[in-house]
Amino acid sequence: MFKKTNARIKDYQKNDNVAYLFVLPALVFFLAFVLYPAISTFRLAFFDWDFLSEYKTYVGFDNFIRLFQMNEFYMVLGNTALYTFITVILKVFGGVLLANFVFTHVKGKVKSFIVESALFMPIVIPMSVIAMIFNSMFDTDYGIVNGIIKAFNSTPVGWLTDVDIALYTIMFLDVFKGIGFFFMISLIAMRNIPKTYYEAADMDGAGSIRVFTNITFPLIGNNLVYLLVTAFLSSFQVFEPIYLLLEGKFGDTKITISYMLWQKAFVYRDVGLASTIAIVIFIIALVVTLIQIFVTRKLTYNDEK
Amino acid sequence: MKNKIKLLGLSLFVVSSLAGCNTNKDDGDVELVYWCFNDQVASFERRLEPFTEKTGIKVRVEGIRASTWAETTQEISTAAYSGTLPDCADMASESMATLVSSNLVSPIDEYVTRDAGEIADSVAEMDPKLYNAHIYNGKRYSLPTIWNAPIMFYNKNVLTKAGITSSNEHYPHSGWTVEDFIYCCNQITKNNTKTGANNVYGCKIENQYFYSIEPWLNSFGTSILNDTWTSSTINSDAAKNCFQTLHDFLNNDDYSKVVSPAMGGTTSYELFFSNRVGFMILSLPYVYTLYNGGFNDSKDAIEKLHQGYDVITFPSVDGISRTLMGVGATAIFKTSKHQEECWQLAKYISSKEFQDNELTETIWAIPSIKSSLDILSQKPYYPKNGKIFYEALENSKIVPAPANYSAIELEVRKWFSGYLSNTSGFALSGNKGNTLDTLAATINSYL
Amino acid sequence: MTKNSKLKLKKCNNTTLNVLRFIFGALICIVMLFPFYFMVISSLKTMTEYTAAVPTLIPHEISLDGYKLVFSNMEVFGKMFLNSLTLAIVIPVLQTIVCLPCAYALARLNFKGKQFIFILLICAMMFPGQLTIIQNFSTMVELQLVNKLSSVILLGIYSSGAIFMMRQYFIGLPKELEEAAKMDGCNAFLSFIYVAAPISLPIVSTNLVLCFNGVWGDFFGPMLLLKKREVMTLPVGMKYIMGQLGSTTPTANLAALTVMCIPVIIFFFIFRKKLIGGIANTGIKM
Repeated sequence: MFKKTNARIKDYQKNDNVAYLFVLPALVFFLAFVLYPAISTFRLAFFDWDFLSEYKTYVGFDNFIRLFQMNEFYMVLGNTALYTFITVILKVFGGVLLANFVFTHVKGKVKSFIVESALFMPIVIPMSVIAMIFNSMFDTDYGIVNGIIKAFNSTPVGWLTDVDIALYTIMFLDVFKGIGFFFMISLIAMRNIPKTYYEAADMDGAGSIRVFTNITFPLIGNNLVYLLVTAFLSSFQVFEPIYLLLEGKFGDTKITISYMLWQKAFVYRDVGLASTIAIVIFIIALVVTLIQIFVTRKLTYNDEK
Repeated sequence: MKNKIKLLGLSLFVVSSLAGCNTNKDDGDVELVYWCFNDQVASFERRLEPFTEKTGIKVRVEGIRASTWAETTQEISTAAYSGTLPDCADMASESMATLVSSNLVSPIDEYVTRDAGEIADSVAEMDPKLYNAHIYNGKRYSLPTIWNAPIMFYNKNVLTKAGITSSNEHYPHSGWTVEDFIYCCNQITKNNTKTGANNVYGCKIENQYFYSIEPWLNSFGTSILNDTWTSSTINSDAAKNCFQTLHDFLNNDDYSKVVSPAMGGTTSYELFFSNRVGFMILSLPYVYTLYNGGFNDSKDAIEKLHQGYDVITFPSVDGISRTLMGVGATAIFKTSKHQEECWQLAKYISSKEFQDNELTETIWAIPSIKSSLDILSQKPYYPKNGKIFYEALENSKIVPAPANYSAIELEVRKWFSGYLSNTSGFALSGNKGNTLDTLAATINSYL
Repeated sequence: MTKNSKLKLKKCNNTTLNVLRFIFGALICIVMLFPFYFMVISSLKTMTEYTAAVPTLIPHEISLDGYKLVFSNMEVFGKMFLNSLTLAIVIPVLQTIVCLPCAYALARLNFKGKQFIFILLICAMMFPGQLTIIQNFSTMVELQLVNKLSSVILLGIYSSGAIFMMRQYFIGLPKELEEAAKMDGCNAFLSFIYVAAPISLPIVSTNLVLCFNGVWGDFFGPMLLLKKREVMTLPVGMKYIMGQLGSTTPTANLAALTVMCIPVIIFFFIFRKKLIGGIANTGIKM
């Protein structure tokens, strides 16, 4: 016994120098491809550059001023806000509700397997594939969705060609692809809740809605933070469906901020402005995430008490 | 042991960095790197084999992925920045001005004078308009390789079904007008129902530059820029008329309905094949595509092919047939270490020998050598009215292509997509929002 | 109300509710799976049936035309498939090699600066991709790695998420094994090689699977960096192919998309538990 304690104290004081070797490769990549670019982007926002010239002209806060004076910027922010808000709510709460449904009402290995796989499938399929499938499915003239509508003698809808509807179609696409993730995590969390709670509720004769609001939901509350943060970050940064389905449409009035960044950087080659947009994206992401964590923590603590 | 691990890590790093690296060229033979579009790579590799046999100069063909000239010039810019430019590339009117103004390409005047005797035969077959197409700031930067013009293809089956025969006065004919065109489209779509089975449409309006916006403006007698490319005329009355017509065409039920504008949607050949659309804007290479795609039920019936479709110039507002064209070039980059060999290649591509033999087998575009086009027009699948491809040269204007071509193309397409889809804030004229006047101002700022 | 009658009431509602629930569940499955069903059957339709004004849900006639067209373009399509596959195999392996030791060190070893490095790496999780992509692209241009697979590989090796997930795993392991190894005279390095690494197999395989999925569908990076025909990957190449093939046959497009989905679907069914487990691990323990 004596020997063990001594050994432990020894461990604590000794520096495992080999750890530096272990950490080194990851650190090198991190510095080269994460930290350095991030700092560089912060710096580039104060310059005017077009990827080609050797020389970058210093312009101070010009890029920021220019960005905040662009009408386009606010329009794009508005699109992104709307998009993020709707998809996050639908993905997270839809996922939780679906998980609850499956948790309480889907019994049996086969049925569970089918439902879980069906909901999880869109996660593994690449986003670009889904976007292109949707492009065909929702095609105004040949799409199967309009085909079914036409079979009922109604007017076909311009899912991807009508300026007012297109963005909503893409939101549906996003939710379709992403909901499985939130569904799965919620489901597993629900399955981890000790059964005693439910047995107690059953004895008290609680209805399924009350069970959900008073037991299930609060107890997976911890996960809610993670779910909301993840959903927000992924919706906020959406690029692929916009690029694949909205390019060259509607005078670029329906694009989101990630697309605008790419466009300014690689199409217009206004690297300074693009860097400014990147900083804005970062700040918004940071602030909203912190708010979410703060608010959700407060709510779940209250519930647990 | 530690050292072994470090070595392993380092070698893994090195190996992964080398993944995908090209093998070294041996110093003996000259190998030119030639860039063309991705879909032409296989064809070029085949076509340039005789060149390598004849001169011993190897050519490595690499494709660039770009669907617009803006993307192409971006690729070249990136390559210029990283010092990985090719030796020469297949460029065209739209991009040459940009390359010249960025000082990336070499003039060929000296070579032309030096080898004047050798290329005399070929030059004799080139229309002066083509021959002089690539003179910028008084210097010649390339011989013409091929040229292309957007032309209207019409589906005879569809027209016949709509009751329009060749004796009808509105039938597509040389000098036909926009009224004729709209009449035909109307007839074609007369029986369409909103939820229709097998509806047929008049034409398809696409958010494309060379195949839609430019030729339509041209046929209305105007253009994006004035003749000297110094100021924008996109807000001229003729242009307003043109866009208004296209807009009504697309949005009104009284005019012919168009298939969903290809702002990213399904493309149109299968529509043409399945006799679902009456008119389509294409060009010479698609003659071959249509032939290959079996523009009818049985692939062998050339007669059926001729009965299936034909080509005609754009309808105009005043009865004068106008066409637009872009001329291909072989750009020789200043950074290339093999200027002489590049000239040999450029010479070859623009030669009678190459075009007579190669370009008549697999169609690239309209050969600039007249004899080649003559041979091509004898092919059985050549459209009956195909003579307009060369006749078009007389009335043809070269596409406006100033140095800032890409930026202008971007802005015009942006406005066009907004206007045609009835997005709020886009209008022909007015005080607010994106109008043709604001567009003209934007374009002028790029000149 | 007696207890019996309450139960009776419950039972009556149950049957109708049960039916509704079953329908709802079935509806969910149908909606989720329909697009893939559509993709597969459309790829098997003939062009005329596909462009018919009233599309059919069950094809009248099965035709392999779409697939024939895809495979006739095998040179192009096949190269893209290989490129995607190469990336999807190389990147997870390299990622594991780089991130696993780091995760182990952060979980189990003591060294100066451990906290600092850990916080640094976690902060990186907050960085949106857009913050780094411009400079990374520029770096690749300067290194002349554009249009080479290694550019995407280099960018894909580091992953904060992977390090985090693996660290969680190591923290959850019992310390006894390493104690035993130490008793036997191993230093930290050897105990990693002989004890921790073999035990980490579950999490490593989870990471491999997750990373494979991520790389296979990765669009943005390859779109910027891999533009030449020889190095294009599938997601990016699809858009380009659709411009070529799709001009005459959308059924060929969908056939190509189907082929593109097959590896991931196979992976999904084989590694289902690992995939779900991995995602759950990142989600729950946070």
